[in-house]
Amino acid sequence: MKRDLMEILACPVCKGELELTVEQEDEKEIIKGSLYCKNCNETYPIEDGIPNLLPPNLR
Amino acid sequence: MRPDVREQFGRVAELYATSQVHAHGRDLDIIVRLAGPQSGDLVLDVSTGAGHTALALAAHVRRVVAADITPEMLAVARRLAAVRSSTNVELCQADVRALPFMAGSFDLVTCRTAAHHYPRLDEALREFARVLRPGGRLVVSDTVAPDDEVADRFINAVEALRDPTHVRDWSLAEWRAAFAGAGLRLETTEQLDLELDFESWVERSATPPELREVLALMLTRGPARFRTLFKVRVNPLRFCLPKAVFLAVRD
Repeated sequence: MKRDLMEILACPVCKGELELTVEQEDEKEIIKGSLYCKNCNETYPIEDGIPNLLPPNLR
Repeated sequence: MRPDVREQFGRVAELYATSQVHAHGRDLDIIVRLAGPQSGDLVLDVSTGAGHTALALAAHVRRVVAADITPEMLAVARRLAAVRSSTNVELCQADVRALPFMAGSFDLVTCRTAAHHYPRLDEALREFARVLRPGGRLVVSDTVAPDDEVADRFINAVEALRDPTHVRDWSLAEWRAAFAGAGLRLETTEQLDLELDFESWVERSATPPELREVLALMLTRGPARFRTLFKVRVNPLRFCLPKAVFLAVRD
């Protein structure tokens, strides 16, 4: 995912802001990392360039 | 319990990349026309599947976010995007009942041939409305149930036998009520026939052979009224499902 997608991404449950942690990135996009929701204390993975933002009960 | 839609589409994802009715369906042109894509638009294509709708729009807009619940479908969408050198398509694994986007994020939301898998239509449309900016457009297409209640039950039974993750071909009345309930003003409804080749239709859903036999009988030996309504023809077996494309605007 490209970094500026953060402008519109929200937690699927509470719709609050997410905190981005990048583990691997190339010149175009984030390859591996995670998105953390402080309200829900929930972490959503970014793997192979794709954020998995399914609510916890659907993962 | 109904099988998971992810298992169903995870198994057959690849077939959707090349399926004629998905890659070249007439409703795809109608969706693009009704959507009226603008060069500055930020678009969300939900239940993107192999990404055909997202890619058709990507050429006209600033950016498309293509979301799907099934990772195997997103992998197919990514490959198709690479083949077509689309660089403005972002992929995201998400569920329509709980979209991971801020309210008012999108100029346009599209959803093609997917709502018959949604457990609740009203819930999904409310989420689509939430992520649209005021004045934003929603363009949805899907197979629809006939107004006739008996024919409605017949075709939904056919669909459920073919694909255990089928929930319901919603009727036009149900669609209208769901749009209104979500605060979406329905502007245009275009109806068309989705012409299906029976063999590739059941192949795509990996329907067991015994059920293919039952389905063929239901279509060819059922009441004449249904054969006429769904335009059933034999050798090879083909039929039509009524489909609708809707344009609605968020107030």
